[in-house]
Amino acid sequence: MPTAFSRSATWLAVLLASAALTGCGGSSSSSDDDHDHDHGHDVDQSLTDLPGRLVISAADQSQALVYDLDSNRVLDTFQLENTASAVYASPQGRYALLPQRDQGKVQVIDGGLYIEDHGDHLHPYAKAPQLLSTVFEGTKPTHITRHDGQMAVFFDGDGEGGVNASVQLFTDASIASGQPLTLTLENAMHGTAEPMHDHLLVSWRAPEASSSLPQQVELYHAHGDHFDFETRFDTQCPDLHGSLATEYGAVFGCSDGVLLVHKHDGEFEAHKITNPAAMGENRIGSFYGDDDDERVVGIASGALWLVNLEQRSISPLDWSGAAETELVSYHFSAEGDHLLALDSNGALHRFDGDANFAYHGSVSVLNEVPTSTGHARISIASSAEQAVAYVADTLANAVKVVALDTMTVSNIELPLAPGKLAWVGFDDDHDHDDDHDHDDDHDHDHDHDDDHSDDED
Amino acid sequence: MFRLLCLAPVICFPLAGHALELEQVVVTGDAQARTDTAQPVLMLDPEALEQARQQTLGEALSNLPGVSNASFGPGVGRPMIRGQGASRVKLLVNGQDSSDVSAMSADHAPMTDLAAADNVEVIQGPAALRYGGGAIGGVVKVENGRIAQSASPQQSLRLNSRLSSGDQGRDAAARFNAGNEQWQLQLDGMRRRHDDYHAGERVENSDTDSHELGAGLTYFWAPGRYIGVSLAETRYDYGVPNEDDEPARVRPLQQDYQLQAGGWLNSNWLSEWQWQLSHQDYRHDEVNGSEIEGLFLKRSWQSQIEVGHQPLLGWEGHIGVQFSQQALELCHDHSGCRGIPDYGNEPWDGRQGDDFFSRYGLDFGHSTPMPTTVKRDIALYWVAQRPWQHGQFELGLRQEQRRIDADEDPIAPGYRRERDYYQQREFNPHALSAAATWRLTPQQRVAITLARSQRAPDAEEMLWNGDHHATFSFQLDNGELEVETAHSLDFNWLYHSDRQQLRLALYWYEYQDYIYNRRLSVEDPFHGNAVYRHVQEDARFRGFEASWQGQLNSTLQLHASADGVRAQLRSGNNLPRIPPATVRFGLKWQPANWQLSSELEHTFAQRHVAVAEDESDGFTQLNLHIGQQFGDFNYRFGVKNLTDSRGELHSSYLKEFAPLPGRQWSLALQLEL
Repeated sequence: MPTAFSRSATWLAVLLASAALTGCGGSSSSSDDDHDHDHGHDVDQSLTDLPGRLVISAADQSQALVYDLDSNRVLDTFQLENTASAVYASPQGRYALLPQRDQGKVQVIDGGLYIEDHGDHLHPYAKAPQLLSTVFEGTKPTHITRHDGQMAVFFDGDGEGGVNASVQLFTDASIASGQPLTLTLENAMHGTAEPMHDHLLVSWRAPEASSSLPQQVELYHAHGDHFDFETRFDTQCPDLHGSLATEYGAVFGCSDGVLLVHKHDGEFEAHKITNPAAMGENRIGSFYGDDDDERVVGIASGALWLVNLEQRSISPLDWSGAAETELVSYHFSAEGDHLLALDSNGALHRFDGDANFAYHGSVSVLNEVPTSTGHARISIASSAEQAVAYVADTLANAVKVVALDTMTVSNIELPLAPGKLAWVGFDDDHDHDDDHDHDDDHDHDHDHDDDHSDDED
Repeated sequence: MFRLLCLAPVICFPLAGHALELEQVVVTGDAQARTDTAQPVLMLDPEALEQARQQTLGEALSNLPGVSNASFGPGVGRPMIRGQGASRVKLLVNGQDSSDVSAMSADHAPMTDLAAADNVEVIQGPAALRYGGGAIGGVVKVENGRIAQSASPQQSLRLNSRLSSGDQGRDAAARFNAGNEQWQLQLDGMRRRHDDYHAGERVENSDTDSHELGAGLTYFWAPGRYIGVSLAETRYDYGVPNEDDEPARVRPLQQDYQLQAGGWLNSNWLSEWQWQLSHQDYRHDEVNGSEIEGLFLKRSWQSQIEVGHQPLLGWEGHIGVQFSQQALELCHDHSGCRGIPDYGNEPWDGRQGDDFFSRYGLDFGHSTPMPTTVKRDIALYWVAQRPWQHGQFELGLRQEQRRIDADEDPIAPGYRRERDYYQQREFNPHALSAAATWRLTPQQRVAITLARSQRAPDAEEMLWNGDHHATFSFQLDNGELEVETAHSLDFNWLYHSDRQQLRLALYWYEYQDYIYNRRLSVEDPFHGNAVYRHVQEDARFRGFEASWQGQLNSTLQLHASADGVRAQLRSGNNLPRIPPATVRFGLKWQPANWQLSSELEHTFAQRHVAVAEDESDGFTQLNLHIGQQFGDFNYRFGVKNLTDSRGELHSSYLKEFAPLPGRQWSLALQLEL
């Protein structure tokens, strides 16, 4: 029988062996050999980098569907009261407004993607889309503009029918509550309105004017549930059409130039930037630009003009477009500060806002472009999350997806012919420590498609 | 003397921890001769227990080989045994489950205070036979004497006080015992206050404030036959150190009511009986500033009857029946909890709500994280042993049934799963064990234990879907969890002579469907925190413990110990927060009425880390103490971490924010009359 102490000696050997058994590590770097954990594990993946959803109206049916760009499938299809004349994303990107101009209605689809401020965190939701029961009504909802987290829907009214124009001012919250702030004007007009923080710039038309287009701009101040009139700017803007608001001020297209209304020393001022002689008989009828850029692009009969709000100048934007093509549709891409212009051959051209709107390149998107008849322009939308644009391909029952960085095109097949479309969703680039203002990125998206029948470009 | 509360497993092997003096190797008795049982049982010796009275349970036991501290700052310390903790290590106070929520989340303190404790034991390895699946990793038993184990006509009063530097600790405790041959009374209480401690610099929001009051009365109507009741209220209030230095606090409060009775039987069939009934009311508030953002309510009932039977075909043992019911309800609301939410009146079509943020098949909720649950456990067990010429054989069987009922009313309908998800779940785990002890020589014994143990998942492992702010994580639910099964092999060798004791333990556990909290490769969409979900995968635990104690002469003792564990999933990945290997060396010199002791402990670096887990560096700490006994009074002056070295517990969620304290001086006074 071994002695107790001989067994103790063997114990030491067993101890050492057991240390090897368990692989108990010291602090030496040789233990790296046993680093069997997954070094390649990615723990930084964000769940909120959702690519968003598209709300797409049918071209010739009273339907709209919501297509999820994450799961790449149609989430739901909704029956509208009428065929939508346009589709616009709401200021925070949760809703899509679907005006039905001829019927005087605006229906709303909740895209299901939105963010709420819960105090200690921003709370994202990714819910099923739904068609809201709320229908906003007014005669001829036409121009819809967005700025400062607000959206202004301008109802033209009907001069012959004695229905005055009006403006309904929305936020995402008032869309949900169905209670926009409403301003009823003195007569009908094909006008426009631009939200400027707690003010509203609204076109004014003289009652005796023969044209349906307004001639001046008024300033209103929002107070609770109503607007207070503050002033009408003396500076004339004949045949006013098209507008855009940026942090440098708001611009309105006039037959003789561009009316700039901006704040100076706490007071709003109006200035006229006259058209250059090179513009000839044409005039700017729509604008595209970024909220924090003093330069915006004006469209005058298919030609591009650079309007500098700081220098108060208008200059031609030269690019070598093919002579036989005509630009038929425009869109400003918020994510990349790109102006996108689709020509009559189906090519999409990219102009870079951060390079003085220099021409970047083109890509063929549509094999066939439907004949433009008045307002029936080809709808373009873009993601606030990615540098991606979406072009409705009505004739192919598809949406073309254009990666703007590479200018490459892919395809989304649809069960219907798309008419208009808008991107809805949220941008998870928001820093969780920021001031929770979700409007910033959406404010950049000044998509002013002139989808009205009185297109006067 | 018959230990009325003894619930030690039949397969137990009483073995001293390093702190146990040699003359106390034979642990104070059980009804059976525990020195010949197979499973290792460690216990704190009286001196170690005196030092531990002001510590958390995990901190107090962390000097024992194979035991580590799942710390969450100074307010929380739950013991881990052989790398396993939470729902696998059962905490018993006077034989009853502590009935807190410490297994649910690492920031929840166990309600097992040591201020009045008489005895603390650690059963290492699966102990499911007698304690259920919640003891699949081990058991910690705290006995505080409120229900007396024996009648004594003596009165005693013990007063303890302690002051410490670094955290301005002010501790006081008192315990009074009185009685005669029939009645025994105990009154005890404690108060501890510690400010933020220092670890190089002040650790913000690490202060603690603790109270406990207890009382017990026992009646002996015959020698060895008794009935007793006890009442206790324990209240903690501790800060949770955190990355953002937020004023986050946890305030648990528990009332504990226990009734126990038992005695010998002079029957041909039965030898003894024991009955326990207890009720615990638990509440804790999770406070941020002045706002209660989390509220946990738990009401528990426990009862068990155990009888000892006379030898049957040579097998002598115990048969027991256990019942427990734990109802848990909670609130989690950043705007403030004013009770348990009730959305019972809101319409719900029984389908899954659409307020979940869902992507990649993961559903993130943000309402009340858990439904109200009622967990009922019923168990029947038999444990027995019979001698053979070199020792004894041991056998054990257990069959358990767990039912979990869930009520979805506290969850907003938009965040509910479909209705079937909340229907009753039933699990039927079992445990089997066979062991043998072999006395090789009069000084040496070997014990081998083979066991198959099962554990049913807890409600919180399956049904929690929401934030865990304290751990900066988000927990996803998994209603598909099933029973996990452990096959274990324990080997123990003990050498014991007049002058020294040696012990070596080797173990190997193979888990099937081991439930663990896997970190997913995403961040939660609300706070950007890490995301975890309990999943099941086969796992393996291997480890050892070794200890030596030597009495060099009449006044000088030395001791040394080492332990290590390796825990891996079948995939090869390591399990998280597994404590690294440690070695300890100690010296104790006791000339006349003096006592001087020192201990050097080295904790190795932990390089075997889990996915997305940071490695921990090794560190060494040196502790010194000097004390003197003057009759009924003694004092003890000491310093912990003399070199002021920085140490991070790898087993702690907060290792970076709440490292171990720096150099800390202390003075402890005790008067025992």
